[in-house]
Amino acid sequence: MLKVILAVVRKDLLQYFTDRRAVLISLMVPLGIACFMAVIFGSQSASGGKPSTKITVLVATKNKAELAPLLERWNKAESVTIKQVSEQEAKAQVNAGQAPLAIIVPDGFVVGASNAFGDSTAAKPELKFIADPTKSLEVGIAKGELMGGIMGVIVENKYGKAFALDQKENSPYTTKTEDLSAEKQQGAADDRNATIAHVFAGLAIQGILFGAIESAMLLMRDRQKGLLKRLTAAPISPRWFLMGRIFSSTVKALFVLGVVLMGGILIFHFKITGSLVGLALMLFTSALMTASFGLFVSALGRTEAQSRGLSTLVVLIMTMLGGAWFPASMFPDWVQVISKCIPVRWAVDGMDAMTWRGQELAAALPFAGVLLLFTVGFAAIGLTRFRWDTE
Amino acid sequence: MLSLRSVSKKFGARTAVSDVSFEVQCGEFFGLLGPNGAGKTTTLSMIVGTLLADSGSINLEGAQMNPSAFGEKSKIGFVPQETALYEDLSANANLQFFGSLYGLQSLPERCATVLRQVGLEDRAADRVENFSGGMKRRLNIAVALLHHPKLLVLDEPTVGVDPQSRNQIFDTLEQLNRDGMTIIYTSHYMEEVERLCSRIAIMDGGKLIACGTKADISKLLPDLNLLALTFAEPPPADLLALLLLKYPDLKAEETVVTVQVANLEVDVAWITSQLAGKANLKAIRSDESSLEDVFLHLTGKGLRD
Ligand SMILES: Nc1ncnc2c1ncn2[C@@H]1O[C@H](COP(=O)(O)OP(=O)(O)OP(=O)(O)O)[C@@H](O)[C@H]1O
Ligand SMILES: [Mg+2]
Repeated sequence: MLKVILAVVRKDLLQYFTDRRAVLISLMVPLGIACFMAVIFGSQSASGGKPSTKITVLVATKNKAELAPLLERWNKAESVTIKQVSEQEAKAQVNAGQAPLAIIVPDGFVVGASNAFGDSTAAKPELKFIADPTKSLEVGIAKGELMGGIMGVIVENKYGKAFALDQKENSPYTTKTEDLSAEKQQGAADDRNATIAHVFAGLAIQGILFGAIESAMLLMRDRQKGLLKRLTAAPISPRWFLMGRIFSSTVKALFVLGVVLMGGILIFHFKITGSLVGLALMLFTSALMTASFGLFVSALGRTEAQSRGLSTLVVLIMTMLGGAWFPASMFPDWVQVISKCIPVRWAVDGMDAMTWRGQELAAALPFAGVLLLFTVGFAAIGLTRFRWDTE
Repeated sequence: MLSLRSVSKKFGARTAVSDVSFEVQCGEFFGLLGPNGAGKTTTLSMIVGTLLADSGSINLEGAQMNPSAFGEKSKIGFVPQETALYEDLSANANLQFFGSLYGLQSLPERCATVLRQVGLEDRAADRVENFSGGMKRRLNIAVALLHHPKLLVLDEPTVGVDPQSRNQIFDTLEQLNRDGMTIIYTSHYMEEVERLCSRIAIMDGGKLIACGTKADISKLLPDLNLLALTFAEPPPADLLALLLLKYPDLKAEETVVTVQVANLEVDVAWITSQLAGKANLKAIRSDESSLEDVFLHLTGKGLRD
């Protein structure tokens, strides 16, 4: 029987690699989409959640002289560039989406604020922000950075230069900026690693699911052509042939998984921080699960024409709800519940645990176990319900 | 060697095979003849064990045949009606794969041997999709020969094959039969079965309507011979009237007149005596009845419409 299974695997792989163009497409599609998504999401997390370009903040005031010390501090801000404009222009530009934030500084703001500082009875001058509601992230970052400058100017104006908090020599404590930013970079690198590893794992899984459908369609086509009649006339149970197909599909899936993940590592240099044995286990069980899913599809479908559209839709829903595109942690609770019933979820989460969450082999076992249960379920239905004849 | 007893098969409400019984002897070249939809493929499927009969029994060398009779299945070589081959693989890869299902020793040698038997030895490494229709048909047969079957079952193996390739296939099959292989050959081509088979079963509408040697089957026709008379010019009306009196089923067409006669010698003598001075006879021809005529006689319709 082992000989028969091996013969089927050998024949299937021979067929698979004969069609080089199909192999290339089955690799390039997941790799291409993964690269695209990695470039988009990876670059956002690379800057630690901050947009990569500086934020333009418009400043409008009538009293330019008073603004000078403020501008001096603001110009030092890391992620903000200041542009002076008129009040009208500021409004117009924010409205048009050219800048996320404009600050209208009233006449005598610094003096007024200094007077009100520590004196609750004094009139407080009003600083007016005009913000683009669609860019709350940028607005928040810019406000945060600019507030420090404002407070610095007010304190300096009231108590003299000696008390200006933001000048190093006067500060009551010292800071070590380099360490802080290095740590920040490390965190950002982790984020980036996670995003890219997830994207590649998710799309590799989607790729092998489509591969499984393709191989199911091929089997239905063979049945349509009467090819399977020889198998049922042979002196073995034709189920061995189906078993062989599960294994050949598993090998094909492992090949695709391997190439896509290697591609991700080579192009984006993401690191695998967890157990390598655990990752291998996850790859194997994921491949096995999709292979038996393929048999399941070919057992339920009658003709290729009937089954292709529906099974493609099923795979898309499975990958979407299983968190292969976007991490399942982003889903609302009720979607989380549904997604736990989908094998893709277990494959993706298990891969995540091994690739970027830095987990040990033991952490992979529950995921692998659930995938094996799905495998057994799909294979049992596939092996018993497969029709050998066309009707 | 093989015997079918009251075998029936239904697909839903449609009866594909109904109460079919026949026997095939060891070493025989047996023909199964019938028009499209007669139930030939269904009958063969039950013989080779890919389909379970609803009722009746099929015996191969004393053992019951059914889908899980693996010991019996290994005695049979089956050539499906379709060219059941992987088109994207080479001839050799196809043979290797299907051969592996029979657990053969020294498979590579067997592949080479059967390729030689069907005359494809120089195309072993070529992909099947590049083969001509006739070559695919020959490879289709080769696959069934790999495991030295005692019984070879062929379902319309020459569909879409040119006369030359067809003759090549016939030669191969006749050689196999001479070497002792029992063969069941299915076709809706009368000439094929007449040429190849020593015994013939005729099916129509799922029923067996005749079975036996060609001579046995010819006896089913009423004992009449067809006589075709060809004249130099259209015969005169009074002669035709005279002949029509004696032969009511006379057909006249321009210069050719056909009549059915009971006794060739007596009737030919009588007819020639009537001709004197009335018409100039150019040729006279009598045909043995063919299977086509038998089929027409038994079912009231042609084998192919
Ligand atoms: N799998 C099936 N399901 C339903 N009906 C079937 C099936 N196979 C055959 N039939 C029906 O059984 C009847 C006999 O079919 P079968 O294929 O045995 O005929 P055949 O003599 O081989 O014809 P052909 O010369 O066209 O191959 C037909 O009416 C056919 O429609
Ligand atoms: Mg048929």
